[in-house]
Amino acid sequence: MSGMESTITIQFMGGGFVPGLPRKLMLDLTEPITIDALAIRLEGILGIVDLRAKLAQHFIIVVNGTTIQHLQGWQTIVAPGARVAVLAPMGGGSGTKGNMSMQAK
Amino acid sequence: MQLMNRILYINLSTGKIWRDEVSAADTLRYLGARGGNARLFWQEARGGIDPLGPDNPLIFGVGTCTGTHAPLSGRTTVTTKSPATNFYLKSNIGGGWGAALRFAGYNHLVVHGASAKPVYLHIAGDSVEIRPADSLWGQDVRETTRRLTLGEEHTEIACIGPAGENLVKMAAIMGSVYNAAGRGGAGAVMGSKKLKAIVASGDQPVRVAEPVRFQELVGQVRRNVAAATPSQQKYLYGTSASVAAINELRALPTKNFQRGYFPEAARITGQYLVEQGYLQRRVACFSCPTACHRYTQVDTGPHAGSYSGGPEYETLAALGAGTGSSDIQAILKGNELCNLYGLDTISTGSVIQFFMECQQRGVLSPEQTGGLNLDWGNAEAMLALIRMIAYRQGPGALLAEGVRHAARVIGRGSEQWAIESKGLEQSRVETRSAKAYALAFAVNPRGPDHLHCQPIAEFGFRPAGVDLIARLTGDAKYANPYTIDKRADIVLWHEDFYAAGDSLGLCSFATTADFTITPELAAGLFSAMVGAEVDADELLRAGRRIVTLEKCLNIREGATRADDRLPWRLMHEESPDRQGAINSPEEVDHMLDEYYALHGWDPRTSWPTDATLRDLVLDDVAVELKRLGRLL
Repeated sequence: MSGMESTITIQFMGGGFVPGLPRKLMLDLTEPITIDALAIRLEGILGIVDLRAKLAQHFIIVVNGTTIQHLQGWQTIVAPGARVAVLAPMGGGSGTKGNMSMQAK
Repeated sequence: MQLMNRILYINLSTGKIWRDEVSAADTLRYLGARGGNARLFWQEARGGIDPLGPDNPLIFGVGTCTGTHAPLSGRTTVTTKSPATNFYLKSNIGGGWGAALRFAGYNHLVVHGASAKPVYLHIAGDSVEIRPADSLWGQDVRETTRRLTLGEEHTEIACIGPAGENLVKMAAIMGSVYNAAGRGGAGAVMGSKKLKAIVASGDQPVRVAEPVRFQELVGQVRRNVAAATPSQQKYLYGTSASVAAINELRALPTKNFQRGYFPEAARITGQYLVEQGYLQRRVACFSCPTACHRYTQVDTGPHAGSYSGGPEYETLAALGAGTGSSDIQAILKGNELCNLYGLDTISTGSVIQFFMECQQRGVLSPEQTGGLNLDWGNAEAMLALIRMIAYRQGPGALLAEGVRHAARVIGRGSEQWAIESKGLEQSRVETRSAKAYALAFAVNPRGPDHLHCQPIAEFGFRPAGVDLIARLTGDAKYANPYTIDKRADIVLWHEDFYAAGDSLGLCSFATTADFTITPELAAGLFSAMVGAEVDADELLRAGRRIVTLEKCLNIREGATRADDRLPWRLMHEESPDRQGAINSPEEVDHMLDEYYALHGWDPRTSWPTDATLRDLVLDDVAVELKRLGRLL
């Protein structure tokens, strides 16, 4: 496996919500890993407490061009060579569920 | 009901000035700005008029909550017949001009006729004057604003630049210097009336019928805004933060929608503008705590000294990725030029991209290019074309008519890469991988863009959006932009709420994008404002009435189902950066069938039925359409 194929690229775009996030991170990966496990691993690498919860609250996560909501959510598998983007959304509601009622008919 | 809902009328042909009031019944039925404007336009105009003739009224409508401290309530609607589409046009502008007109004591301004010589309107409360503007004619937006604010306090200016004077079909009306009612050529309508500017000021109080209740609701909205990640993101980086995210989703229209991914996008993002020091300061519209607008400046390089408001996402996509350029300094210069000349950056960038693709495909003669090197990424050509369009020089004379006209003249298959429908250039949204947006764009009366309906919830980015989709469709699984299922259900609700929000003067970022103002909160604000109880259902029903009336305004102009389409490329070519992403005719027709059925519109013609119109208390509209033979 070449160097590029054994790493994943993680880009953090938008911010201010979680101090300490780098702009870009290359992570060696020898075998596939879930986004859930990746977030926990990043907590340790970056030293950011509750990073997974903060990512869930403020960001959307995109794997190879598709949001994880349209893959397998936090169980989405990231393979070596993948590109992961962590984006602050520009719309779609606040960071917490159910903080306001929504009239719909 | 306590609301004063005043209309100021001016006829520039005769010099006559008069005033009227919106009835209490119409205030409740049409809510305010956008809805009130649509009603006035139905009454004041007739079908078939020349958009650039004196019979086309130009109507400004201030939001019902505008001028108060309600958050994100500073929006104003401009309504007229579009010279770009020959259909109904509503455009929307932020900044502070609308609040100033409200402080002058007016909710609506209706401009009839046309002056023989350049004039501007000076509105200071009850003092309304038509003043000569010979010395202003030919001046750009910044200089016009500077001259008109000299010696004036608390004055806001709406004006046109050279593009409007030259009747360019994508000319904008600019307000508070750098805010734009950009889409559809309202600036050309203003230019056709020889109306250079409207100066507004006043000290009339904006009375709230139930101030305690209103204040409680304002507090709730402020808390919602403070808690919303998207609102904070917009403060930090403006709409331009979207560039990176949309590119990552393979949906950043690049080189005239030939690609959905721009490899150099990192250099044209909002983040880059902040990190590289181009951002000078963040700016808010009247009474907005978000402050997503911004001023940028170039200090080095060939464009040093350039400064302006923006750029927004649409501008970076239109002048940057769309033309294949990541030269951020040139893009900032292009943004400044568009603002000074009074040009819509979306349509301007779109015709330039179209022209570059014509060169790519070898369908232009050397004479047609005007000697320009139109290679992708040539930012200097982009800048030259902006000037040429504003002044109708060289190839700019053709492009100033819009991309539909340019494609018809150039021919040779170029209609297939003219990214327009109804004659309006599509905003920089990749509808092939956002199906609710695709439907919303197809049915938008003014043409394919995002400012009629903003169904961002379909992406399922945030829990609140997923909740909404589940309520609208019965299942959270439909929070999925790649399926055509249930898109009509999603679009109708967003249309209704968008129309209601526009009418109250609320920013769509608060309503249909971020949900920091829900229908319940909007209904509460409206009720407390006017002193009459309107619940969320009634508010949304008023929104439906407005959307339907706007549809009827187009039917009066002859619109049919055939007009509810998307650009050819998006309907016939897959996005190369997302497999299977297309708005095929079959997909669009399927969504249209469901959309018309939910509305109670005839599926063959797209016309509302008599029963639908009468149910919405649009009886007089039904009578007129029947007289025209356009009612089933």
